[in-house]
This record gives sequence, C-alpha cells and structure tokens, in this order.
Amino acid sequence: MADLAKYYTYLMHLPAPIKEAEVNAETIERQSLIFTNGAVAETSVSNVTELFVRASGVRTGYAYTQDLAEEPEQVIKRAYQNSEVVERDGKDQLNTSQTVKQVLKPTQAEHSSFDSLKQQAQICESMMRQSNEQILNTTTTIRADHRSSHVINSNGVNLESHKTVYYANITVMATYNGLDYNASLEATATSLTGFNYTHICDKINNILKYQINPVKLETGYYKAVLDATAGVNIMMTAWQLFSGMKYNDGSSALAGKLGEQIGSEAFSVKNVPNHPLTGYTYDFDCEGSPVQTQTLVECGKLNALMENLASAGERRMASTGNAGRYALLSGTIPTDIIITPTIFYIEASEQSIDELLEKMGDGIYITESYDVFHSINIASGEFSIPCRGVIVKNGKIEDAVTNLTISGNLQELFQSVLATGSDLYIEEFLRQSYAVGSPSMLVDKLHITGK
Amino acid sequence: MITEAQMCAVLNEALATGSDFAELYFEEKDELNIKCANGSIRNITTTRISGVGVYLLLGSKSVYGHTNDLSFHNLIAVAQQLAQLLKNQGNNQAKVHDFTQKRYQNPNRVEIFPASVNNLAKIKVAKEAYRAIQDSGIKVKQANVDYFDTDQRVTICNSNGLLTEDRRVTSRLRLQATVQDGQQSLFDWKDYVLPHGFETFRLTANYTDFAKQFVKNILKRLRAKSAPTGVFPVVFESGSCGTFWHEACGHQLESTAIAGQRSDFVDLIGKKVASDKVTIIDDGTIPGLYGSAAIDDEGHPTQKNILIENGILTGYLCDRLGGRRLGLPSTGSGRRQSYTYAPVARMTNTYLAAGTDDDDEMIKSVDEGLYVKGMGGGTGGREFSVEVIDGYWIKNGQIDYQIKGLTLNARGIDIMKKVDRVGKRLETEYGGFCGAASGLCPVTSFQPRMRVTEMAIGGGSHG
Repeated sequence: MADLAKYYTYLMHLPAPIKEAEVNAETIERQSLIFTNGAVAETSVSNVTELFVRASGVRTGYAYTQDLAEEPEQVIKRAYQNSEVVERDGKDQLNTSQTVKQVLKPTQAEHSSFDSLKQQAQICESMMRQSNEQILNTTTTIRADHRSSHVINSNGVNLESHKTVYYANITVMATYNGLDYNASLEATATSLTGFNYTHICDKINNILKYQINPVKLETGYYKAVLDATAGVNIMMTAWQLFSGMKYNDGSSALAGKLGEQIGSEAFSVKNVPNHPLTGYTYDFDCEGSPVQTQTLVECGKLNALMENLASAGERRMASTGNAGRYALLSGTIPTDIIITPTIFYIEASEQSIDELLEKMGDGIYITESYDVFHSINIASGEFSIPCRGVIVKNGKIEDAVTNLTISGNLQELFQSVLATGSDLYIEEFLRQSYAVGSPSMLVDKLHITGK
Repeated sequence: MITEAQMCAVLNEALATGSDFAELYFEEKDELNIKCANGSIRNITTTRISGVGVYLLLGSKSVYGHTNDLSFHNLIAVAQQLAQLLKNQGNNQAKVHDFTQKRYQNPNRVEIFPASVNNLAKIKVAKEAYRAIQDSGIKVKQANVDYFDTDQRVTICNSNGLLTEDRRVTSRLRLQATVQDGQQSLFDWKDYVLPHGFETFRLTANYTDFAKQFVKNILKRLRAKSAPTGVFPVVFESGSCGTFWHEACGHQLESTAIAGQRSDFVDLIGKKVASDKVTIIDDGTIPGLYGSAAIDDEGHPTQKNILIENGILTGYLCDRLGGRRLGLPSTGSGRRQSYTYAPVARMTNTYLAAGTDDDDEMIKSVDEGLYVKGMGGGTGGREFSVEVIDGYWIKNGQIDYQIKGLTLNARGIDIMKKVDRVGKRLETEYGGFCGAASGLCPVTSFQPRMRVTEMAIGGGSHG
C-alpha cells in the first residue's frame, strides 16, 4: 500500500487557487500459479499501486500516476493544470466527512504461500480427472489478490480498506470419438479453501457432454432455458442499462422507464456490496461513497439505478456507491469516474435446473454463450449472441446443437422470463473490478438461428 | 532507470537458483486523454505509467513478477523472490552475458511527438471531430469525442546479453454516438487511430469525414431490415473484414493455444487446413500500421510470418516460452499490453494475401447472399464469432438492401475450406485492440474482398 501521508498533509494545506483535491490509491498484490497436467508451469507475483488524482479550482482536472517517487505537489498541480482547459460548468462534487480515519480490514487477510496455491490446484486437477476419464489436458489457475483501496480528500475523507480475493479457473481438453473438446469455468472465494470443486467439475463435465455429436437445429422461436453462465455473459454487458449516467444521457434502452415494468414478475435484479458466492466485497467506491444494497428491478419493475456523485446529483439524490473506472475493456488507463456495478446479479429462486427443464418440456437449453462484449447494443437493447446448447424433449436432454445465435431485444427477454433457477453463478469481470451473476432462466420465447 | 551494471546484478540475482534465462522489461508511458462531451471539454487527464517486469525461464516453466517500485534494492528483492519460485536443484548458475546494445528501426515514423504539442491544439482536433458529427445532418442524441495520445518507451535486457529499446507513439480519436430515428436509438463507437504523432491530424478532412460517415452509418443501420435466415454465400469486403481471419484462425495459431491443446490446428503443420485460395500472413514490420513495432516485447525484431500458404499450414506464432514448449523458435510475436503482463504470442498485422479473382464477379455471381462491408469485434477459439455492423443483402448479383447487425459464427477450420474467391486489391485498416492473456495489444486485420461459399445466417438484431 502506498504511503499517502505526504499526500494527506498536502491535501490539508492546498495552495491557492486549488480549492479541493482527492487521491484514490488502489494497490493489488498478486500471487498466481498455473498448474498444467500435474506440474506447476507458470507462477507470478506482483505489487502495483495506482494513484488517481483530481484537483479543482473553478473546474476539475485529473491526473494518474504509477510513479510513487513523484512529489504530491507535482501530481496534484498537474491535475489542477488540466482543469484550466475544462469547459463544463462547475467542479466535481467530492465527498465530505468528519471522520478522522476509517480503516476497514478483512476478516481474513492471510498472505498465501505458493505451496498452498499449488495444493489447491492439485486438488482441483485430481478431482477433475477422477470425474472424467476422457480428459487429456487440464490447466488450473489459482490466484490470490490482496487489494487495498484508499480514498483521501481535502474535505477530510480518509477511508482505507483491505481485502483478499481468491480466484480459481480450470480449463480442460477431452477427446470423444476422436474429436477434441474444451471447457472452462471459474470461481472466486473469500478463502483459499472456499472453492466448491465438485460443482466446478460437474459443470465442466456438462459443458463437455453438451458439445458431443451436434445435430442441425431449424431456425425459429423456441422456449428456452438459458444456463446461468449464458445469463452471466449477457449481464456482463447489460448491466450498463442500469447506469444512472447512461439513463440520464439517454444512451440506455431503459431511459425514462423508472417505475415501469421492464421485465416479468420472475425477473429481479440486485447490486450489492458482498455475496457468499463471490470473493469480491466492497465497502466504498472510488469517490469514498459507501456501497449500498439495491434492488434495481423488483418483480419486473425498474426501481432504481446505480449512481455516482455526479449522476445522483443530477436527480438530487445520494450516490449509491457505484463510482468506478474499469467498466469495459480498454487499452488505456480509464481515469474518468463513471458508473460500475459491484456485485450485480439476477435473483435466483428455488427451482433446480432439472425442474426448469421439466417445466419447459420441449425447447432448447442454451448451455454456453460466447463473445461477451460485441453482441449487445445498450442504447437499443438489441442483441445477437453466438452460443451452443442441447435440444430438450419432454424435459429430457437429447442432442447437442452448436453454432447457434440467439437474438432479440433485452427488454423482451426480461419480459419473457417465466422462472429463474436456484443455481446463481457469479463471475468476475475480466479487469477484476466487479462481479456479475445470474441463475439459469426459463424464457417463454427466444429466437434461435440454427446451423 | 537503474544503470546497466545494476540491471546485470538483478539478472544475476534472478538466475541464482538455476533458471536458464532472465529478462527485465522496463516501461515508461505517457498518455493524454481529452474528453469532449456534447461539444465541450468535460475532462482532461494525464497518465504516467512506470514499471518493470522480471521474467525467468527454466526449460518450459516460467515465473513472472512486476512492480512499479523501480528502486535497485526493490528489484533485487523481486528477483530473489522470483528465483525462489523456480529452483533448479544441482545445476550451476547460468551466466549473464555482457550486454550488446541492439537498435532496430521502428517502421512507424513519428514527426511530431505528442508532448511537443500544446493541449489547446489537441482540444481543437476533438472539437472539430465533434462539430463534424453535428454538421452531418443526423439527429444525434448524444456524442462524445475522446482524444488520446500515447508515448511508450520500453527497454529490454536479458541474460543472453541483449539490450534493446523501442518507442511507440499512437494518436487516436474515439467517437461515440447515440443516434435517434423516431422512437429507435442506436449507440456505436469507432476509433480513428494511427501509430504516429500529432501529424495524424494534419489533414482535418480525414478525421472530420470519418466522423461524419460514422454517424451516417449508425442511422443507416437503424433503418436496416433483418437478414433472411438460412445458409447463403457471404462476400466479405476488403479492409477491416480481415477480423474474420483474426478470429477464425489467428488466435488458434498462437503458441498458447497450440501448447494448451485448445486449437484445431495442433500437429497440422504441412497439412491442408484451408482452400487453395488462402494465404494468411502476420507481419509486424509493415510501416504505418497499428500492429507494427521495431521489436516485440521480448526484444526480438518483428518479422513477417507466413502462417498458411495456399491452404497449407506453415507455422505458428511463438513467443520465447511458447516456442520452447513447441520446440520452435520465436517468431517475434511475444507481446503484452504493459509491464503488468508476461509476454505471450500475439498477432500484429494479420491479413489474407491478395488473390487473382475479380471483385465485381464475386457479387454478380451470387443469386442470394450476404455482403459484409464492415465488421466490429469478435471472439476466437475453435468456434469463432464476428460481429457484422455494416451488411447488405445480395439479390440476383446486386446489392439489394441494408441488413441489421448480426453475429456470424462457425468453426474456423471448417469455414476456411469454403473460401472460393479472393480478390486482387488488398486494403489495410486503422486497427484496434485485441484482448487476450497478455492484455490489450494494438493490431490490424485486413484482406482483399473474398467470398465464402456458405455460412448460416440469421438473427440480425443488434442494429
């Protein structure tokens, strides 16, 4: 963790004409191990601190540095100089607080040894191989991230939190009838021993099984069950519909629909600071606002949006603690403060996947979708997503079907959710800045292009 | 930056427990981002990235560490920590060879370095692009123009005695707009990007015309019809439709996919994998292209790699570690977004080589099919997908009407055998970012016009 004492001192005595300033320091200490076919193939360690700075006079400018040797004066001055060419009215609103210092420590903050990471990878690989003799290759990644966040500002805000997130991913290759198939699944946990490998193995075996000997599917509208992993892939992009910023500027397909029914009775969406199915937990956002538990959609009704200080200010309400930076993939450092979820998910119910399939009777079980980021237009809500699945007849799984495309409009999809399953699955975003979840969903009508 | 003697000491420390290779990758990068939202400058940010990656190999095993504490004592500590993770009992310590400075010319020449230009001139560019969007005559609900410039300096030294460096400069406008037509809205973004300095914006008409066309295309897509459903021939236009090759086979030819048995091209070198019309090349040396550089991120000079020649698989893309795992030399393909990633084999500028077929005949001889003029992103793998953002329906050999965006997907190794026409006119593209294990790397993917005899089409929906 960067020593921000010098910054704090400087913030308390800002020279004119700088009126306000804020520093958000994010540190990730990472240990990672890749275990391939019974041996450690790659290991890595890292320790990087990023400093995001904003300074205001009449307006607000931004600066970012990884150069920890830079003097606070230099960095804050650079941010201030940037503010001088900004044209929008007013400056950013910063959080205010009388709190002297609040340090939020995790309940469990052990630094893992590589031996303990290796042990987990061995357990995972061994269980995977025992569960399926057709598997020829396995690659298991185990990662431990020790994350520290620190927000200080010239209004006296001084917040610090420390978390440890563990991540496991297993990728396998299996051969059936002379053809090779791959499958992969990941999970996060708050402790290194917190992974449910039995569930991971079962899920991977199903992904493999559902690819074998595909048959042709006629294009048309079908009743369908979207597997939880496919639901996650959709919501990994679709969470943007619930961004207060996008709502305000009209670039969300849900713009103007607060209070309206945007989904079926079975469709509810939450954004929360923590959840037992993921290792990610959040206390406050990058502006220092506490992360709220929110029911964004309740039984189909759009109740609320995710907000940061700026978007909330536009509608004269409080931030919901959703100020963030790493929203989607970007080749540059995203320094601008926008809106990101924390743990965003569609609510599960009590029904197992078998019960959903039985309820569906005849239809398609979409077991996997891919291409997370290019298939959905947030302004129109329209989507066209490549995927694969299996044909279901009388609630029983029959032949595999592949190279499918599901298409339609997200609002129509939300409206056609007849039931959600009990199998909530939560996955981290690639940039590890938030997590998105979904259970399997039975949908009344889905357009599927077959091959 | 530490001295050469200190670099040598860090490498020695890294090799102390028996690794056979050690490398230091120093990166310094300055970025500027100006955000022009609805016509006014909303934000301006300066970004300074500074760090080092330490990479150790022992046979086909690797250890990677990175830090942004560049002090000598910290780098020694990191090297010691990494060395403990890759012990080779009983072997003598490998020697760090004396450094020999190697200089390679970056194919992308820079005339005006970004730091030498006043921010007001850059703001003017962003505003001109925004104004072009407003002057296009299209009803734009919301529009942002982001100006970016980057100046990355990398220095690489390794235990083989290599000491080399590269400087990579890029300039980019990211255009984002939501266009409204009646009750319908559609959002899209597009990059105007070149691997050059501020001279990128010397000709105003180049980027203002680009901005106008960008919003006009969104409106056209809003008014498009859904594509018919079924199996049809598909003609892919020259230029950016080369994304097809990036996704259909490029990722599967990277050593990571081959060594990890996640590719349909494993053990197929010398075998027929595509139609005779198909020659696929990855070339990081081409001047003026976004994927070009003097060296890869392991200090190997970039090179022209022929991957498929007349339908026969001739090679894979290898970084140093991937090459070791496959028993092949590096192809100058070890790339990474920054020092926070270990290098892995990645594409640079990937293209389908020009053929001999007639461009017009390719469409005229189609009774009914799809003409793809513009493509968005995609996903690679055994089964790949690409996003059609500018597509048209062909009827009786003529372009009939525009279709809504859709996703095409297929198994790469199957569809490559169905290429029956490749045109003569090879056209490049601006390029974009490719995301994979070592982060986002700048690439281009391009081609001449080409045709696939049949692909399943349907589900056009996302604008």
